Amino acid sequence: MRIVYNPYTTLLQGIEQDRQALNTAMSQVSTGQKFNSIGADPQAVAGVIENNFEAANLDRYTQSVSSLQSQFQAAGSALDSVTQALTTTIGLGVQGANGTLNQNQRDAVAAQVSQIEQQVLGYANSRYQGTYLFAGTATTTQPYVQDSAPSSGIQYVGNTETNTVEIGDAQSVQQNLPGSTIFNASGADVFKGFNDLITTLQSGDTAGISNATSELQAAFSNVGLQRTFYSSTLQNLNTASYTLSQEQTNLTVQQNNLLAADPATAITNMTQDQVALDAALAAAGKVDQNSLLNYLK
Amino acid sequence: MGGLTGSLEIAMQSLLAQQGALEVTSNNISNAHTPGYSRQTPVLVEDPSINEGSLVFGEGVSLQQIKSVRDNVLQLQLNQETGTQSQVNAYLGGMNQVATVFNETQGAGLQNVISQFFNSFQQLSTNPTDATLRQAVLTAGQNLATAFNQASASLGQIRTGLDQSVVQDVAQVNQLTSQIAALNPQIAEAQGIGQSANSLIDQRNDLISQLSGLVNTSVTDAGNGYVTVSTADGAPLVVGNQSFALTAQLDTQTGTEHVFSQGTPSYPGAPGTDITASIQSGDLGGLIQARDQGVASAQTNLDNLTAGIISSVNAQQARGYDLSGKAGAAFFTGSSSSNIAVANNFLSSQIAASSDGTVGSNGNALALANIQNDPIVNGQNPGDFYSNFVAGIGNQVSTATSQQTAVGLVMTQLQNQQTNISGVSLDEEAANLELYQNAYNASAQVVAAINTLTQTTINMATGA
Repeated sequence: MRIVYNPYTTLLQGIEQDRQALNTAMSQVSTGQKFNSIGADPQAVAGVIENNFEAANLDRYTQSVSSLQSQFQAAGSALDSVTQALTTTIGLGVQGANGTLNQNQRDAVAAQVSQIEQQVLGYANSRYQGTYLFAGTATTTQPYVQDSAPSSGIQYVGNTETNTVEIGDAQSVQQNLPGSTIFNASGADVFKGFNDLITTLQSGDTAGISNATSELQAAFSNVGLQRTFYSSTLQNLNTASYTLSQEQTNLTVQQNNLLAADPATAITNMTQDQVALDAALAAAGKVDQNSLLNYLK
Repeated sequence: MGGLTGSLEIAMQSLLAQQGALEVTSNNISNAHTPGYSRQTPVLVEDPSINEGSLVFGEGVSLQQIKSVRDNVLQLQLNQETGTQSQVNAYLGGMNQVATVFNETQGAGLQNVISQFFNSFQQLSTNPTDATLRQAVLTAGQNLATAFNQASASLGQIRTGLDQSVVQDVAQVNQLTSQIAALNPQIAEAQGIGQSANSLIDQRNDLISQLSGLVNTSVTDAGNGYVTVSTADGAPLVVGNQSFALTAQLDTQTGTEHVFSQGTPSYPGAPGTDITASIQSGDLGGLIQARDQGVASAQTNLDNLTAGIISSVNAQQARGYDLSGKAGAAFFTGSSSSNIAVANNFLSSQIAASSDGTVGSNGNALALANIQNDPIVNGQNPGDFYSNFVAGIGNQVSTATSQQTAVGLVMTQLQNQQTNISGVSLDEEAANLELYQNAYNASAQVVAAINTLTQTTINMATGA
């Protein structure tokens, strides 16, 4: 068989392949990624993109959880203050029903109760980041206003709607309780209790004072009951936050499996490719350029 | 019997023949690395003998012809494979550019803006009246629109680049076909008067090979030294001494350059037939495939994704209420990736987060956020559609890369085969050089010997 001696084509192809392999290995070492183009491993790229979407999903749930945690802490804190105020007021009611107090003293107690009522009114109108916490979904409207129409003298002008926020795939929590559920429950109306207590203290109606105190005790119980919504949901949010953090970690591991280059392997490959390239270049330098022409005399 | 004079003539004939053979060897050595050169061999033939009585005398040697060594079937295979290689290279070049636009492994692409856009609605759902969160939705929408516009513009630039290359290729095809058409009669003329047309045929073969690298061609031997060259579907490129130029014309429907044949009466549909779709090989074939399939498909998918997002976001907006209690206005304008934009003068207060008209309601903000989980594009959610779309481009690149490697190996094998048949071996030429040199020397010795004998004969006559 006739063979034409032409080593350069093969050598050049070899050098080209070695350089390509070395470039890939160097890229893996320098970027820490197995591949840097979508054509290198399309299946893995699809996985990487899906993971990125999922990571963004987890991120949004995490942000929502974080935002809700702050909001629930603010609401819980306001209700804690309300229960403290009610406890104080109930004590004052018991004191006012005591027959040993004269009217002047009852008037002084009434004035004190009135001050507390204003504080509670402030808590009922609590705001978080510019929105009213107990207004239902009418969050830009102050929910409790002074109004002579109701017997309590304070009108609820929020609504009875609630919002829901997603904190995971197919997992959501109720974001709020309307103020009417907390402060205006039937038979446990906070402001009616305050108003009745003040009125009866001022009129010296000890039986009425006792009744008003009982109303406030019922309101206290209801506020405490509604307070558990915030504490239990906050607990759920804390659990969700931990779960989301775990999922983020798992996702990072998955992403690394898909994309991250193993540094030891990458460096070993780079060294091997460098040796192969050096060998190919050395071989090219030592190509025998002789032919029969060199030996004919 | 020719006697001394006859012997001298035989020796002289041999000197000429060996000289010619040496010339062929010298030419081979000179062209050892000339692209397209096929080695030549001197065809030495024994001259017809003459009979004198019962004796038969040989009449020496003649250089009958100088023959080029080439394998036409192999050349045909090489031309076809050259076309395939050029097609794969051009296609891969285009698709690699497309892949760069959506290279999510390097942080390019649209995943981030899509996620950020829908996530901004989720954030808004935690506080629907918050001006900062509303502005964040608007900004995320603008970022999404800009990213889609840029991706579309990048695809457009790639398409324009491929289009320009199509025009350049067509010009190159025309240059090559005119050169082939000019060589045809020269070869015919040389062969007609019995001259060697080897170098002209080498030139023509080289031009045909270059042409195969640009467009799929069919070459037929028309006899008398002529070849006819046409595209694979029969559009004539060279007939006789005439070349038929292809033209690149802007197609108003697609906005891309289409290739038209000039045509001849014998070519159906000629003249002026659009042969763009039938060009499937060569650089031109690869460019057209990348432009009309790869880039076009990416553009269509991108537009489908955009249209899905625009229509679903706007529809969901319309189901909700903005801060003033009005039904939500369209958030996006446009219908494709090139023209998607946040509606002109759209205010953050117009984001319809509320599902019941109360300002603090977040039901519609949640619904807007959840569009990312809805099957809004070809039965898939935007994330799945996008990841499949990008992986699809990756698969096209990956397949073409594998094909490029495979074709490269086949080409190397064919080129090695061709080199072994038509390439110049310096060892072989050195041996031939020695052979012909010796033969020349020997013939010269014969001439010298006959000269001596003739001198002796003359001396005999003159008594010297």
